[in-house]
Amino acid sequence: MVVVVMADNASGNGGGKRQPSRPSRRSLLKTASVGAAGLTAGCLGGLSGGDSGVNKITIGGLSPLSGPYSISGERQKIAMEMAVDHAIEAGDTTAEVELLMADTESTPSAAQANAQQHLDDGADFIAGNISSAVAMALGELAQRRDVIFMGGAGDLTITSEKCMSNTFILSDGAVQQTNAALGHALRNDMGSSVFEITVDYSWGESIRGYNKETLIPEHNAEYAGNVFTPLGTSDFSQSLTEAKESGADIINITQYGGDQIRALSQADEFGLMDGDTIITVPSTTVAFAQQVGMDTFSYENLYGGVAYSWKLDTPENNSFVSDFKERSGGKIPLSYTPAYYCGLRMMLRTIEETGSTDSATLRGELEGKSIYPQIWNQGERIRECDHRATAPTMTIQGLPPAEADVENGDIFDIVSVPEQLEQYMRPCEETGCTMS
Amino acid sequence: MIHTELPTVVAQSVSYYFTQTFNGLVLGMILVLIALGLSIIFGMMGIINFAHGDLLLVGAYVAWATVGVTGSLLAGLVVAPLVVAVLGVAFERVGLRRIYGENVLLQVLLTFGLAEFLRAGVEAVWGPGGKNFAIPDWGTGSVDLVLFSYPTYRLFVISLSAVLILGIHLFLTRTDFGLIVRAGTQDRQMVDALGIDISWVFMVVFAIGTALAGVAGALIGPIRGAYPTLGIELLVPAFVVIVIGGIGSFRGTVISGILIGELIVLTGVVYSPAANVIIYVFMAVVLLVKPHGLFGEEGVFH
Repeated sequence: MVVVVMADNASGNGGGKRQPSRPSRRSLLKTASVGAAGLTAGCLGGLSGGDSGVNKITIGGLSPLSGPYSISGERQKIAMEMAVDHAIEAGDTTAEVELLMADTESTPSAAQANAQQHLDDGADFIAGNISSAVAMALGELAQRRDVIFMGGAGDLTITSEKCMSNTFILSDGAVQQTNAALGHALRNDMGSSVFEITVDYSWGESIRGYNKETLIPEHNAEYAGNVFTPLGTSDFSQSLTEAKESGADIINITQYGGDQIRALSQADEFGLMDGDTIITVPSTTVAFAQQVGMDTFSYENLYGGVAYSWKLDTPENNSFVSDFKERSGGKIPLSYTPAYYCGLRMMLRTIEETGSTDSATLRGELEGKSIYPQIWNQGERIRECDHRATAPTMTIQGLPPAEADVENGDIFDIVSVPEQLEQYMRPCEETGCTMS
Repeated sequence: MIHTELPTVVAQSVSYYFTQTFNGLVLGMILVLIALGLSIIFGMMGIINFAHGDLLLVGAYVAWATVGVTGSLLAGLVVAPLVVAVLGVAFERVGLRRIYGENVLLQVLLTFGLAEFLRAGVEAVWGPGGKNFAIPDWGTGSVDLVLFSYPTYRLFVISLSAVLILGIHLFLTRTDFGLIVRAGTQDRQMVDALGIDISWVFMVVFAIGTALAGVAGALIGPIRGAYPTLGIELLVPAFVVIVIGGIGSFRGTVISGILIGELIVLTGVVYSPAANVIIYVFMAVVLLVKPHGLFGEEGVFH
């Protein structure tokens, strides 16, 4: 059964004291309901919240439905819709729930404009997204409008000095990701020099910075060089030629979405996938491989980090996968699909428990809370210090072509899972996050 | 974004420089194919076809679909330009023909509208996520070119583009129809006055120009994949190619296309963040020195 953390309830009751922000009619209405509802939550503290005081919840959903991350975005949307239905079926919420969905277009400006629109349309909180740059823009908006943002971002900035009290990050972070991919290769002595091809924005910068300053020196490996490529790069021939020329044992390709597909398939063209070179990708998902076909992904020299795999054998995950497949017409959930499912279910339940959509009340309740449902089944929770989920990033290895089943999304095996949840997360005191 | 690292010039092997030069040549050849189509249409008809990039996009997706059905990229390389040319001709007959000689703004609106329409159509049929088709079996691996080895499929792209460019050149310079096209680009009214049905010539020119976009789309598909913004990405540098080469100049377009391809790739070798900006800087410099482009004063298709 899910543990509901009530330790912060006192601060939850004090939720009437809002962060300084421009008052709006809506936020005043919300504040009025906090006092009584907070009390209810304190008594019941569980699933059958009863008269929660919130009759209608509007969710401002945002997903990259076009652009390089649309493969993930489409499934994220399905998962969010499923979360709402399941929350209602399970009685997690008694309110009427409306899920608004909009495209982030993977650009901060478009995402922020669409999120504004959601909030103007009455959204109580915003949720979704994958891109780090977008997450920052949405986090800032959530802070300004004083609503909760349940999001995802691999970039560490959003959970470092620039962390924001209303932002909760459900995806894994750069350090976890690169420790699962490049870290695995280095720990297992697969090579002693590393060349990188890095996407030129905050997430890529985060990973490269950590690799160059920490991970690679820690293993006494040589840093053979790096090429930055703009997001949406379609021709990697120049950077791959450079990587090959460097003679590095390991090529770390920090690219995601369509860029990753192109980088890997072009690496294959340049003969990098079937030689002795080890290729690592900090974050990947099955869908990329499904698009590319087994020719490019099914190489045993390919290691990657995944925040999640449908192959994960836990009771909650098995039922999540089968429900998702049923709803999506046989599609499998991708790396960041369950994060948003859990995010919405948690939020709906927390609103029911606290009887409030007020950000301060919810924040007090969400900090340290166990993620619900427990898809990873390792007691994963949201850290109080930086608001990042502790779900582990696992290491995967490409299956040999003969064993791979691209159609069913079976193209890699989980080869390693961190032994402790926070093994490859930065310790709280190193994040620099003060929740200002 | 802050880049604290300065570009490092490290002595690299001969094979490295050859490979990078060929990388630039692949991009350059594709740009030449796109720019030639644009240039022929502009030279003859005075139309700046903003839909050219998205006609290429349709070519890429049609090639992908053809590979899916037949399993052969060669079939895709035939079907894609045909389908795109048919689309182009239909557009010319139904839309463009009505606005010849009208305000240039109408052309811009109409071709821009078609571009949006095509892209929306592609997304509606094939989804927004993009499709990847594998390099055909005969194109996998590398060819040993003594000093260096280079991916087979990319060599094929260079070769086929060269053959097509030569073919277009011969068509324009050695056939009666080519003569009419060249005459038409010099003086449209005179050709009309000589009793040649210019309307029919326009249609054929538009078909050839758009077919080139279709071929380019099919050729680049296995390298980059097909995704909704592919066309726009390539259209912008293709415009730069035409402006630098000199509008309407065949030789200028070919030389400028290869130059731009090399410039993008080789700039990336030295300092990657500058790769996408350098062509605009180069264009500005060329226009300051030669306002009509490198070969702009030569007239058209000589």
